[in-house]
Amino acid sequence: MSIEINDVFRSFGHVLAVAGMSATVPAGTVTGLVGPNGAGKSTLLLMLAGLLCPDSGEIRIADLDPVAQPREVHRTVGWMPDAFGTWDSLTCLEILETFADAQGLDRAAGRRRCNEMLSTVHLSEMTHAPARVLSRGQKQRLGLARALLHQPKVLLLDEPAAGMDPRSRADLRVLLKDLASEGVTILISSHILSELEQMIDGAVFMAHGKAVHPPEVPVNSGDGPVSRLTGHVQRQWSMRALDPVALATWATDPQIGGQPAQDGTVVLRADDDTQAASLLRGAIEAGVEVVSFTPAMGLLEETYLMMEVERR
Amino acid sequence: MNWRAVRTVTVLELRQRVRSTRWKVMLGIWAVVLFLLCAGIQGLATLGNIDPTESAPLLYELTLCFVLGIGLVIAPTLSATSINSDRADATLALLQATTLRASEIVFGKFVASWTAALAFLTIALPFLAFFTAAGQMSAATLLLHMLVMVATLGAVCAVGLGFSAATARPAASTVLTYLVVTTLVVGTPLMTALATLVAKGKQTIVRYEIDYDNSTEHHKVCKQEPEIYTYDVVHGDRIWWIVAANPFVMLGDISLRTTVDSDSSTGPALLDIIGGGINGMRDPVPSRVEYSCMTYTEEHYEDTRSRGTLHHHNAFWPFSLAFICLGGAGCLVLASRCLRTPARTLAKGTRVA
Repeated sequence: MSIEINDVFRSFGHVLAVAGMSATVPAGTVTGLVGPNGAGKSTLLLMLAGLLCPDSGEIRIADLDPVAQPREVHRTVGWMPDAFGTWDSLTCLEILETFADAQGLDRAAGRRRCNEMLSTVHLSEMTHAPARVLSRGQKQRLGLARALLHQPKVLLLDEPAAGMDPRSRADLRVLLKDLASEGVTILISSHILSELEQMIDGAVFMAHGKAVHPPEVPVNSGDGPVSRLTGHVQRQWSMRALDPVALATWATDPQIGGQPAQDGTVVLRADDDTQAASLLRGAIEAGVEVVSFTPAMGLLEETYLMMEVERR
Repeated sequence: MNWRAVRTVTVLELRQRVRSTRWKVMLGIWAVVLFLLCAGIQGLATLGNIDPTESAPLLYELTLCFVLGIGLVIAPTLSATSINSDRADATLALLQATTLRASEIVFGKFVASWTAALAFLTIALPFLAFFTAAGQMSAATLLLHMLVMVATLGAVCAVGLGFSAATARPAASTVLTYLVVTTLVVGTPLMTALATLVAKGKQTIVRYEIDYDNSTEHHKVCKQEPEIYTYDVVHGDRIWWIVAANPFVMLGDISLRTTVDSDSSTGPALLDIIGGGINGMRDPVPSRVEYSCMTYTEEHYEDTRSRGTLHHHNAFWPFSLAFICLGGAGCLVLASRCLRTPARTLAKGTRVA
């Protein structure tokens, strides 16, 4: 159920929006799509959602070809655009029911699913309120409920957290993690990098319509993982111990591949949470007295800004 | 095309637009306006001591034309913005991203706007039925008139949808749709009038007069030398079709063939005159007419005989009806093509989402 993007081009008139984009999004992961405004992120998501036809190149999404099998893609993929338009005069429930019908859900099951989704995004008390009274954040939540209604295998989210309150953002993080653990592949674009970093397993960087390889983050010198070549960045973790020297000795072992930072911590790379957990177990078993082990904050932002520097 | 899918879009569209435009209030106002209009004219007819069987046909036709006129104004307001304003509200792409086919979205929107337009017609129906009964007119006329109205409003809705799919701005598609409606209603008679300049010709009349000096009561003798006149004529039979697609002319054609045929005591009213006029235009104008040895009465008889009965031409309204229905269907197909996903080319100035 992964996403494969291979040398995709798309232009609008003379404007080249996506120019030679290639990337892989592994199945069952939450992957960030990061890049400056006008990098072609939304256009790429439109092509993945089977709404826009690439000029050239190949896309496989959940083993489907969006150009040849658009309806199957629409059934399998949940797409949430950056601006969720609503039908002002309809109530939240009516909007969701319309989409349940439009996705061909069985009537009774569809209605049950609508109520379920409304409570998932905490809009149950707004069930019969017209959509025009919703705040921006509430609209985003309704949009998320709409995108999840038909239990998609792949979720494409364009700035989903925009306008949401902190509680809703935290809920969104948990929801996406849960979905990913159920095997849903999630590609999410956002400009709030610190927040994005807390929910993603990796990131695809995009600029000028194509994937850009993030410059070497000053941690790992080893042979970069294969996923990085396709624009996929690994999650990094920061570990601190009572004895920085012991920690550094353990971490710099080529099998661990950690990189000591200047403040005595080490930065470690992990493909997923399982690997992170086994890293921690390994450290403790090696006698390192670990004080903290957290996702390295701000790394995504750091990488992004370095990329920006290179761009200029 | 899946009917459940079409119904989903229609219900969505009716809920959204009917609620946001206060459609029910408009329908109420429309009923009041119609009632005042009909009661007013009826009142005038009563004051003038006109027999209801005589006034009713005229009232019927006035109401009919009024309803068609208002319908042609209202239909574009519903359909001409229904696709591009959804695009502007960012709601169209959400529908396109579901398993709904482009044709189902377009047809659903079409049914919704058509239904809303027909609601106006439905409110007018009791008034028209009342006048039909009061004037002892044939129900077939009413039925066929309704058929033309329903089809015309549907075609206008379809044209509006076509334009709203092909243009980026609701204002542009509305103007274009009204342009089509105006062309159909006002433009076609004007074009016909202009076409008379092109369809001009000469008719030569060759008349061998009776030589009364040499004729006896039992034996007519003609003059050897004919009198020859040349007139400028208009070949109406070459240009009448320009106006044939005009919905009002279609109504006239139906009136002509149903009211006069059915031996009613009432004389021809408004629409019959239009129908009769078009029918007369279709008479061929020969370039040479010869009268030999005829009295003026005989000449007149000959003229009428060569033309046959008053409406010897076949009814054209079924063809006009087919024409506008085809036009409407074409617009729906065009709109579906514009909404097909994944989109290859986008209309200028539009974006998917």
